[in-house]
Amino acid sequence: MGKIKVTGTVVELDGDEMTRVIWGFIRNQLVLPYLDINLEYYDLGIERRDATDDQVTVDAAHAIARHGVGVKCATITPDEARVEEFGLKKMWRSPNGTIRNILGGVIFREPIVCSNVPRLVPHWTEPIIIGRHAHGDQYKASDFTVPGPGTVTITYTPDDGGAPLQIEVAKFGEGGGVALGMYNYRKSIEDFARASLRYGLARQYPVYLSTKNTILKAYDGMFKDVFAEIYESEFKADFEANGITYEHRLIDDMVAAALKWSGGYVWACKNYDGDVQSDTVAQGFGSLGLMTSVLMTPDGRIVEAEAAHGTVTRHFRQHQQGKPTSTNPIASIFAWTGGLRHRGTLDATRKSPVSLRPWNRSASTLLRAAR
Amino acid sequence: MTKDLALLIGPESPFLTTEAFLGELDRRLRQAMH
Repeated sequence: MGKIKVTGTVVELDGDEMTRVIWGFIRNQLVLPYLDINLEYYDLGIERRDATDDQVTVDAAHAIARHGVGVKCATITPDEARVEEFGLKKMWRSPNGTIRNILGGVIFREPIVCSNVPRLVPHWTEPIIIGRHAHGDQYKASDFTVPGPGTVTITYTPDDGGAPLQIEVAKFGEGGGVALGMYNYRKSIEDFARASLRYGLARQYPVYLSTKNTILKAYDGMFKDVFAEIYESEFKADFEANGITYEHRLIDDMVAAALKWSGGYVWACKNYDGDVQSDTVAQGFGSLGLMTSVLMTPDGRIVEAEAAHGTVTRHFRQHQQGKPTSTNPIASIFAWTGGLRHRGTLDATRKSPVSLRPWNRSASTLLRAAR
Repeated sequence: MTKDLALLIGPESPFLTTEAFLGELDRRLRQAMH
């Protein structure tokens, strides 16, 4: 059988440690023998990032923006210990943060469900895909300690010289307490809505947004309203044509429903809820080794796929000592297939997405064989 | 499968090394693509 010709370019981002070892095998043994493909390679290994003052990460992100598809190996995010270990010039920031800042978009975490691998929640037979609005709210809040009796107010001052709007938050008594001011932008919520609805459409799954709009009527109310407006005006016809739905739910209802349902939906979470729920869901599905992470832009054009786990340092240490390891490559393989599937969609070479089935099938057949 | 998944099935469940698992995957993919 001849190689399958892939029209467009795929940007490949190499990474660190055990996942780098596995990544190279996947590229050389599982991808290149079957595809005639142009890979634009960027080495995001920690040494290369340090040598280029992290310019390689910025260049890789711009390449993904140019070509529309990136597949990424797991990378080290340096802390003090890593700076010392590699003698780094500085504590470079997380490559994923840098890439997301350049591309924008929403990150969706999707588990790979294998019928013979038991799950902590056994009736989760379909994936629960968490889309986290990774902007604002508690993560960009200004919080502070109120030292003693007094009043905390919040003020909005319009740029156009209009009258300021001042709102009293609370009066504090003896002993003071704590307070915070937090925010989000309408534009960011719109991007979140478009990316979430588009991802549901791409995966053919219904989409749920969870908020607490009964308590935060203005704040969470804007999330609910923006999603509803964008759904009605831009997505409703496509959703109905594909037999899928969009619904808003209260966060408490949604958490209970998620436990009860069998999966098979996209859950659009506000920032903090996404932080909490993505870990709950990962645990419920059994293993981070089966969790993928996909960044998609609001227009659906750009996709970057990677494994949701880290570089598996503990196994890499054993590997360096010549000892055998048993490291799960499944999520890294699905990063490749996820990126290639999007390449096929962009190129509309129908052959490409269909011919990717053997990769996914081989991985799941092997799991079923339970050897 | 790999150890992390085998442990979910049971403490005695067999597993492959990284190289053996990737090798088996390679073999089955070659079969599937022919």
